[in-house]
Amino acid sequence: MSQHQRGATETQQELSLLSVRDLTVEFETDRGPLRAVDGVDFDVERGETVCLVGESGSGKTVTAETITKLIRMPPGRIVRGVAELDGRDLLSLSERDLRAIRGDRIAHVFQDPQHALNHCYTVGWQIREAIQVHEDVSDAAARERALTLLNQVGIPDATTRYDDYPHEFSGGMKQRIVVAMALAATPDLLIADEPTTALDVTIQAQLLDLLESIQTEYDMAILLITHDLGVVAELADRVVVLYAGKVMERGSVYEVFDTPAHPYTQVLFDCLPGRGRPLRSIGGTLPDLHDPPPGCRFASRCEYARKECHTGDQPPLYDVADAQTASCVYYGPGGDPDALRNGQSEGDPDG
Amino acid sequence: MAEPPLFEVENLTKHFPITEGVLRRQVGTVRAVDGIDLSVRRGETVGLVGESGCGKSTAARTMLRLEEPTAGSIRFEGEEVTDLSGRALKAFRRNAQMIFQDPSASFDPRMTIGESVAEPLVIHGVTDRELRREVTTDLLERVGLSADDVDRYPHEFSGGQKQRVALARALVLNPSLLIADEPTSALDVSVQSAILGLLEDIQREFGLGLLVITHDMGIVREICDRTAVMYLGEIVEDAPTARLFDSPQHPYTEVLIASIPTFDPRKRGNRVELRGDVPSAGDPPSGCRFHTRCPKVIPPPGYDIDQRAWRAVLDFRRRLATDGVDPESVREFVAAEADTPVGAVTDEQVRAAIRAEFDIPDTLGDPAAEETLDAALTNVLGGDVDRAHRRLEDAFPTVCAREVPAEVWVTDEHRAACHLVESDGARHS
Ligand code: SF4
Ligand code: SF4
Repeated sequence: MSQHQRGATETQQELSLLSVRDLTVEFETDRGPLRAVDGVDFDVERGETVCLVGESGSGKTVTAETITKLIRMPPGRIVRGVAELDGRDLLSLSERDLRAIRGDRIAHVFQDPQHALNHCYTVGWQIREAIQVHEDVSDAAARERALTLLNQVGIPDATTRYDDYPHEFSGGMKQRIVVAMALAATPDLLIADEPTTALDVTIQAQLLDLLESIQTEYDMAILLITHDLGVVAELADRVVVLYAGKVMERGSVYEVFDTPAHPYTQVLFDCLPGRGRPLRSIGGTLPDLHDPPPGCRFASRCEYARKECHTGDQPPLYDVADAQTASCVYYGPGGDPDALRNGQSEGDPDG
Repeated sequence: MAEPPLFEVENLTKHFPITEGVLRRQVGTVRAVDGIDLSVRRGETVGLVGESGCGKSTAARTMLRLEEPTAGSIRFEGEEVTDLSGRALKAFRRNAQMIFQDPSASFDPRMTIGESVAEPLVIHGVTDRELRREVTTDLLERVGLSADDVDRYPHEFSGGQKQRVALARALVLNPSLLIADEPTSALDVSVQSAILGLLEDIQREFGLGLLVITHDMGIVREICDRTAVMYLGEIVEDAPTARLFDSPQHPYTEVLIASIPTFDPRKRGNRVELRGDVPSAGDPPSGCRFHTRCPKVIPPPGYDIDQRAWRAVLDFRRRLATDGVDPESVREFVAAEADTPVGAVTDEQVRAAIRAEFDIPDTLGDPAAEETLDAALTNVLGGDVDRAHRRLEDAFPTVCAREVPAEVWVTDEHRAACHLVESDGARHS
């Protein structure tokens, strides 16, 4: 941990490392504005792993990419909201200040390592560059650091492979190199978007292990974007479930996996094949995000939906358990959450 | 066995030449599919599972003669398919259909869904428009879409709906065999389960033989009656699915099963890891192709070494044979780590660093084995990597690297190719 990090931790005890409030993002399309993210709130504390879970159209990637303004604007537009890093709003920073933060305090790892690596340069050169962009160190010192990083992310024989080009590495190894580049500036927050999705299962496990070990070693927070509940189970401390641009549920990984509260989260678990229970699926389709219907975003597909689910706003995130909240009327005043649990009730279609 | 299978391949082989230069001189061969046996019975769902690069998709394409096999036999309803041509080949292709991972790629965006689904009918000479429309709307309904969808265009459909349309089109000629290549891997989980359910229903309703190509053990377990596991062009194990999961015989199958996510945050870190990557099918390892990664690779006789340490020594030996180990690089690395000048790094530190890199313990426990390893490390330090490699190879022979394991029938329906199975019949039962 660098000096300045330690200082920050001591002086700003109460502040979360990252605090996202009311984040709302639209994209201009042929059919008018599409609201991809709609009032998303969550925090990431120092050293913890928060998973944003969702299917396509949930807004998870847009959320992650808006934090450091990686989305293209236009067509993208931040309608409102803040994303504070140690209390400083990133969304109102100039591109120049943001650039200093990206890579220095926040680093990104994407699904496809291909895009993050330049195939014209050796991996050693690229990592050294990543170090020297943020730190004024000699070539020799940067090379040593790069070697240490390569070794840390599990590239065997780092010294020999330092001068190899990206195409000389397998997909799993390339992703490790991307992680090494992300670590070059010892960031406080690593944003990883589906980092294992393109990898084979036997290689995925290696990468999950790596993320876990570097997190401990660097005392770094991870914001992990994934559709894969298996990956969430392996890494998350806390979970944020997104659907159609809204937060459906938040909680600790134990709460969400032991007793998923929101009807969407519940059925998502029942969709996983090969677990020896009857397989369920979610009928219907995602609401049209150009013109979302009133009420709960999940209402058109929810087996428990009642009349009030189709009117007004998305229900607020009601308390469910310790750290668990769910955006569902069954947890609100007069609601009966027991009606949702474990499919023990068929719900009450008419309220 | 009672009824002859609907579909059967024997010794199916597909090699691709590796060429070089303008003259395209052949310098090697990619053994993508290397002599596999597989059968699908009527009404049966068979899974062919493996990681990317194992050859499973090439196998599927070759089975339908979308690629010409290099060798082997393909029999459909008892008839040899490999030498069919013209009308007979067309008839086979009508009876054996395939759907792919990305349904979008198989639709012409300018054609309506109805036209796309009916296209095979046109190709196969059904001229009656009314009849075509009737068949099409009926099928759309059977795959969970509505008859009104016939006049809509592909872009109006979601990924899951497109996969339903693809399925309708595959069924329009009333085939008896359907091959589904990663049919749900491009879809969201909530949609994936619906498509899997649909495949099961359709299979039952049409009495199809269904072959599912996938990397996902969860899918196999969910819908397949029988499962074949493929690794580097070969089938290493084949058994009824329940039996395969209860009593896997091949170490690779065990690894795949152990890699299924638990979805339980209390059981973290239990995923089995394989070191290293899948080797290239252009140069597959000798003996058992899995020996470069197998956690159970058989130790040499006469030593008492811990299995993990033995695996580590083999990893080291393999590196000596492939990329080599450069002692000066290691020395430089140790110096960088310890922040000392390169000259101050001792040979002992270099030895320790090499051991650490391969996870070789401080001592192998067995004195004779340790002596050999130590001598090999001395060779490496002296820059003689070849000598080090030969020393390890001579002292530590393993049947896994030397001999191709024969296929052993553990039961009438369960076969596996691993020396461990050969040596003591069934390992687990
Ligand atoms: S608020 Fe209504 S529609 Fe939304 S999840 Fe709860 S019950 Fe279902
Ligand atoms: S033959 Fe040897 S290397 Fe191959 S799977 Fe069996 S034990 Fe492992």
